[in-house]
Amino acid sequence: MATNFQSRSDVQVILGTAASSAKAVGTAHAEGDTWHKLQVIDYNIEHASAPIDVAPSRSGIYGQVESQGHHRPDTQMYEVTLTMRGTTTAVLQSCLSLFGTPSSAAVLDPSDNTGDMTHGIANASQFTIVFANAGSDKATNNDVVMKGCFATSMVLRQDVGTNGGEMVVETTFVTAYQPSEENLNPTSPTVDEGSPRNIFDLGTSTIDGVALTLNNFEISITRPLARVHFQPTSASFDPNGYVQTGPYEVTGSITAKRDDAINDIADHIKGDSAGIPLALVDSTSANLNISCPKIMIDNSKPEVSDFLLQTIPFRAFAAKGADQETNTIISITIAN
Amino acid sequence: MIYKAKKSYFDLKDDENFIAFSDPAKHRKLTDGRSIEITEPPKSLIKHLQSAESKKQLKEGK
Repeated sequence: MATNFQSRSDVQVILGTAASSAKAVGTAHAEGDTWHKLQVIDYNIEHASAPIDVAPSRSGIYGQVESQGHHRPDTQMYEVTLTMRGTTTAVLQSCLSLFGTPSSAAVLDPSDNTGDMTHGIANASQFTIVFANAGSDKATNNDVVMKGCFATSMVLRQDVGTNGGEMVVETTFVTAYQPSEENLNPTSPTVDEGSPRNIFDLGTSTIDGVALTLNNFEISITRPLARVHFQPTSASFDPNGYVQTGPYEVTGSITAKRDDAINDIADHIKGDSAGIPLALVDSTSANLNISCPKIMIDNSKPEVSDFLLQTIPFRAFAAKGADQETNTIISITIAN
Repeated sequence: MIYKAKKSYFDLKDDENFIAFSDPAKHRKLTDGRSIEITEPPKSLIKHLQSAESKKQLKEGK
């Protein structure tokens, strides 16, 4: 019986990304490629696995027979969520994998996507995620390696009551390739030494130009991805690639002190089907500037705390009109 | 700053343009004739970009 064990705190999460060269979809980054060791504070890991499909039972018997069970590794999508301190690198690398831009300002408009996600085609948004020391075979294959990862969501969050007001980035990656256990030692990963953005540094927090006193905010950018079947010649049921099956959705929620400012945006809360601007800007605007030119408030409600708050859920759109297919849905400027 | 591509940008190879900086989204927008906002453009690309800030924006920035 094995007596070894795995400590949660021993695991290092390292992301292979495309700063030097875009890897083909389904090809893991090599030891000498560009790797980022981000400030991951929470994570989950995956293991090569397969769900069971169960064939129907014959009438007249009341138990299931072995021949009815079929493993389906060909349908698997593996998903990990990394929770990171909200540094510039964490945000921009998430933007790269989610909508194809790794530099500030990261702008999402309806024409954006992560390009051709066919197996074997080079794609800059494809990441390899290494969970160093997470392999179950401690002696030789001590890393869990997930190749062919694309982000499906990124959540930016700040709250005066948690983490000292620091921004947290929660990014979910999926892959249809089986995670492997191997010994992959990224050479000299770039250690993220950036400072997270902080809610107490916000200088401007406005909806439709009305200044709000924020308690917290959360903004999500999500998209659906699906695997494309599997390659018949692949023993590990590699997919033919991925397809994005729906649009990016940018939603969020702001919780603000309930005061005259809420009254000033009451018409938009009641509902007028008109987009209004949202701006969350650091006192040094180059450090953080989140801008959504056209949001609509989605069923806002008061919240009873020691003092009254107003929760303002919203959804961001591209402005309608002549350039509606290229107008900005969300722009994230971030530095330092 | 907001930039547009100069003519010379269109002549760059993929290992020289924004694709080389793993930013196909900005490359596509520039080659579509659109403007992009960049906090810090790569040094090697600055000469292939031109400011697309409106006079009003430049005045506000002062």
